[in-house]
Amino acid sequence: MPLPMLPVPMRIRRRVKETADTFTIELEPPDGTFAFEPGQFNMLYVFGVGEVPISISGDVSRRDVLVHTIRDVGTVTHALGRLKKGDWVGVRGPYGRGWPMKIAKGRDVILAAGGIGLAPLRPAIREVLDNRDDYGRVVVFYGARTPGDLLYPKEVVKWRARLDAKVSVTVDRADRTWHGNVGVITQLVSAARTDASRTVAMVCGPEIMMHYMRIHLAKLGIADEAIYVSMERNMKCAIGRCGHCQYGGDFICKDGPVFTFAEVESRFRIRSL
Amino acid sequence: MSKSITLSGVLPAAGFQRLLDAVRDAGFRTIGPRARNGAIVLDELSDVAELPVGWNDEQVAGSYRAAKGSGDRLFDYVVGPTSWKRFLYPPRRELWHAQKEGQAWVPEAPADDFEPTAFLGVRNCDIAAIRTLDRVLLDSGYREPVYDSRRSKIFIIAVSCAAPVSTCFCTSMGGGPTPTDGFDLSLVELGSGNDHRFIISSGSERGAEIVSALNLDEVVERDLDAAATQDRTSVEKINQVPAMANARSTIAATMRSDHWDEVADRCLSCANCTLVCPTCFCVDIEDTTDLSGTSVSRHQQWDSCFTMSHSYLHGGSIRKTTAARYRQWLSHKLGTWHDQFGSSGCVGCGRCVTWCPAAIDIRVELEALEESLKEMTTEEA
Ligand SMILES: Cc1cc2nc3c(=O)[nH]c(=O)nc-3n(C[C@H](O)[C@H](O)[C@H](O)COP(=O)(O)OP(=O)(O)OC[C@H]3O[C@@H](n4cnc5c(N)ncnc54)[C@H](O)[C@@H]3O)c2cc1C
Ligand code: SF4
Ligand code: FES
Repeated sequence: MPLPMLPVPMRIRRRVKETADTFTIELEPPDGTFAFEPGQFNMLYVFGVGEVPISISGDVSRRDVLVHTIRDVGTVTHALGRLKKGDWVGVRGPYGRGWPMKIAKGRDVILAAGGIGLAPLRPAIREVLDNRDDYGRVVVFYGARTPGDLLYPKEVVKWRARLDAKVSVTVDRADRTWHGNVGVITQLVSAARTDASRTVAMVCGPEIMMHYMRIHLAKLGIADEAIYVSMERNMKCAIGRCGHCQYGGDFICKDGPVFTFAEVESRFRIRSL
Repeated sequence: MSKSITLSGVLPAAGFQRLLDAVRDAGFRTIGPRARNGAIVLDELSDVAELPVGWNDEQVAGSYRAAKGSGDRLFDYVVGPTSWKRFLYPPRRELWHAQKEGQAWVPEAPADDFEPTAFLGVRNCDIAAIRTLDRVLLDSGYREPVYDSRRSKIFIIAVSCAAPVSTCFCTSMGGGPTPTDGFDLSLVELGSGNDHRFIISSGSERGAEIVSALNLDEVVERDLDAAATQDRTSVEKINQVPAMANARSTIAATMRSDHWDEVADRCLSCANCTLVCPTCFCVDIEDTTDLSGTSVSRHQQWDSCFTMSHSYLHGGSIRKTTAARYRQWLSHKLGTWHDQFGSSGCVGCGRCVTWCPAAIDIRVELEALEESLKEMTTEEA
């Protein structure tokens, strides 16, 4: 039996700079295949530095490569950012309960990401767009701080060009090059035009963003049971035994990270939980 | 373990060494209570004289006193600051190590050299604590490999409590002074002087096998009567905490109570309660590297929800205030543990009460929460 805390070293095949503080690494699974579900995450380990939870951002249909998009915010993510092609990263995973892809089949889907929140949501967006016929109306909202902070810009342009999906992007602060929406992501919501009773919403961003998104989605008539959010807490083990990711009675690492808003609603109102 | 319990016989106290020898001959080293620096701790022993003969303890919220008295009894004290968790799930342990060869490295887990071990003098609350840890580390999704292997190497010799203290509240957590299950052997210490003896029961085949070689005396009516009286006296001495019955719902309804701020005024956030707790399972994981940076060792060590780093996310901790951290401890232990593992996380051993430097008593705080809930509901009505 493999030991649950032992990482598997994987080599970096490619490294892409996304924005000033964000980069994407593509890893080679040693046996050539790595299966996961949208919304799941891995524990990424840098030799001698530490280990952090990072969502899987690639395509579920591409099993030969493992894609992670990471924002440099501290010790471990900074060390990850300094690694080059050919360097090794320790990987444990995939972990957690991801986005409700099965439940979303046949329904209208709203996918809303704030900032780095697009990284965990990207596999779900791709899954929906690649199997477009399986879904009703598809709406993608994406908000970033500035135009320079937008992730996967080329890919987002392709999404926007599609006639079978509504993709809206907004930035908090624009610069001279920006011709799109300016303002918070929630202002986009009223234009969703989905059938509320058969809509599934997947929301990923800072807690405050998810909180306001839910208020706006509720205004459209979407029930808390159909709004999914991805939660974040400190994580050391990802297998339910270090205790760090507790969120009331749930371990975010194994009971989440994705929850329905109905599941977390009462906890959202408890400060510092 | 814990098949049928059989009364094996009576061992005169003068023959206690024979029990220790039989356990050793069966291939177990023994860890049991020992007096050290004025406290009764758990450590290796092989001779009956190493037990805290004649020792008694006094425990109240925020205070512990143990001292040798004039008696000759072996187990007339209760739990000290150490719990069996120290041996089954040690405070610090290497998870794996690796050596860089060029840029590449392969992690390797160390072998665990834990020897077969007899735990002597395990109290019923601590049997419950081991069961609680089993649910966390073995029965909730995957089996923690080292705990699993150590757990299979222990031989439990339980003992009934004849001298409970004010911090004990096992009877409110579904337990009681006399172990009924979950041991290989169980002892009831009776009498003193010439009449000093132990009733031994066995709870497993290997337990029965070990005692079969001891030529025990037959258990007679007088022994059973004495054991029953001792048990009853202990039960009467153990504090009842009626609020425990509704702990889960009380806590769920008071997560936003002002009472947490009130406790926080007294709580030092020192983490003593979680460190002496026999069921707290939180661990931190960290790297140690050598100077050249080519070899690394990854360790886990006990952590506590009272530390700021426990809830750290980049930008700051989620539980910045002592109120939020105390709430995590109490609400997890008595409340959300049920959601996670189907039982309370508390066994009523009282260690957290005794070892709190601020004399905060989890039972009193729960009662205060129940009170604050009543106030909240009358205000709403
Ligand atoms: C399920 C999940 C998925 C995530 N997916 C992504 C992703 O796809 N891309 C991305 O850039 N970030 C993601 N994050 C956030 C990422 O884990 C943190 O940014 C990272 O842990 C920060 O570590 P650090 O050492 O660089 O920062 P420091 O501030 O130095 O943090 C020190 C330590 O605290 C812990 N920690 C700090 N912040 C977080 C955090 N937000 N979440 C969990 N533990 C934390 C880590 O153990 C870290 O090593 C995700 C977090 C979770 C829980
Ligand atoms: S969260 Fe706190 S109370 Fe719960 S197991 Fe961890 S240290 Fe103990
Ligand atoms: S990350 Fe350790 S319990 Fe969830």
